[in-house]
Amino acid sequence: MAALNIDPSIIHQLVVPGSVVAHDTTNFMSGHGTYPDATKTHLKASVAGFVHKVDRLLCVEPVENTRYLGDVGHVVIGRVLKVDQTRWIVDVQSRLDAYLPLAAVNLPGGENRRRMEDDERNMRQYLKEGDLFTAEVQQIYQDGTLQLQTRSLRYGKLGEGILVHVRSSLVKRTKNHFHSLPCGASVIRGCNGAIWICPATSSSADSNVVDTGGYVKNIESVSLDVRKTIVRLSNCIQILNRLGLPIYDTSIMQIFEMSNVYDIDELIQPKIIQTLANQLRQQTRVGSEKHDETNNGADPYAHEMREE
Amino acid sequence: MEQPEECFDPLQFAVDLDLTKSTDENTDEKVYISKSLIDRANGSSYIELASTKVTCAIYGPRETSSSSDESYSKCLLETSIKFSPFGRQKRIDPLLVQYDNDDDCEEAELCSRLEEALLPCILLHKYPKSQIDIIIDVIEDDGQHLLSAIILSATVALIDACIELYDTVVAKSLKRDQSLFTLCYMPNLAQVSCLFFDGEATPAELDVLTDEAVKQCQLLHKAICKVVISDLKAAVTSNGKII
Repeated sequence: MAALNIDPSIIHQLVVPGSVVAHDTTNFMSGHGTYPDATKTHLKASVAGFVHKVDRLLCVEPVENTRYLGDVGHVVIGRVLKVDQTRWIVDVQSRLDAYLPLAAVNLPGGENRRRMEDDERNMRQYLKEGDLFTAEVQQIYQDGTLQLQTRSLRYGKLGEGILVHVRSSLVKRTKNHFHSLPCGASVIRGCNGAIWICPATSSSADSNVVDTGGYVKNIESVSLDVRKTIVRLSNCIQILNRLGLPIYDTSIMQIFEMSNVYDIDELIQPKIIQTLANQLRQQTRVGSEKHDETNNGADPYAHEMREE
Repeated sequence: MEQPEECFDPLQFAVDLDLTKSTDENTDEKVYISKSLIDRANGSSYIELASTKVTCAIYGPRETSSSSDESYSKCLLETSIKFSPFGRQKRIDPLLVQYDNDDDCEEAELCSRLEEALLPCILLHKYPKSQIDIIIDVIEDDGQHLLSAIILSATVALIDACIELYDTVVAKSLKRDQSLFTLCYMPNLAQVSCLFFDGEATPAELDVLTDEAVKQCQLLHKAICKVVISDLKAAVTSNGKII
């Protein structure tokens, strides 16, 4: 293969928009954050960030601040903005609003009934403006609009709980996004950065939450203990967001257990967050000594928190 | 008002540029650039140029409320500029509604100039059916640097919002007698995105002004790069991304 005309030092370098990333466009494809210039001889950066190279794809990745892009199969939590003719228009914190077509929800009478006119008129009885619900991304249109579906019984309208917004890149993409935590609350991690914490439902003991198909909003009184747990979890997830750590069920429980020493309202103080970060670092060091070959001595929690 | 201590003179970046021909009107115009101030906005910045102080907030790209044909293929830019009442020597009434056919509709004119300067540099075709809202607050205006401060703050805020740009637009205002000359320059593409001139001058004088403005824009560009890269480095160390 011909010598690739790229300066090896450009990889992992910080660039600003307009700086040249590669001097040879024939060997490289332009990924996100790059564009070929007018003479088609150079690849230039269009955002400020790091240069990444995967085989022949060059892209510039900004450090923070990217909107949720969406991928087929992602679980998202969205809020209804508008009720349209045969679909709902939903805000999923992305660049464009997502659509939830009437044909993609479960209707009360059975799953595969044809949609009648009555169904169109009764759309507001199921989801109206301002309602929160979970859904899965079914497809992505060419301009980036997401199309959602709530065909499974796991998805649907959400009842009582707390919504926490984190950076969407921190929500770890796993097989399961619905967790029933041992502390008595349930967590739904939306890939778009919205995380829903609610009291644990009394349904199946072994598997995970909310299999009601989301028609009924459970409004029942929640005890003070459960409320405290939920608020503590919310603060813990905010800490994970602050520290830039991946958010998944194990990491949430780890921070939750470590935070039990402090009062709930102490968890928002920067000093305590710093202490927790140090503790996490020690814990993973102990754990990584047992799995030496995977880590190569790299410390996933090695960072300093920015001073407020 | 005192300037923050981190002000730097753009001349200190002039290590590789020939400055022997700069006129002596280049008094100490200090620059202060900062970004990511406003949490709620996708991107934001604060610029001080001499004593002009301008802050910019950018929201977007987000779903556009306009249903024009244009909006289906590319992004729309909505700009809004507001003066604070204490911004100038004479108090500006914030409640005074300015109509389009008023002589004094400065805010609207600055908006259209800002759009003209920024449109060539944003990759609009990457954001169909979306709009970007640029909201500018002028805290203080010293009469000379307003337009360039506005354009600079919008550029830095666009970089902060991670909106794709062809190049950073740098603007420099020069004052000669009674005329005000503002040049918007894209250093990496070596192109002038636009030029505004209010006043009287001969073509030869305009050439001189253009050359000088280009040189100073290159200095300002280095200043912006320095700020952006040091912010990125700080963000990396606080987020723990291993390179």
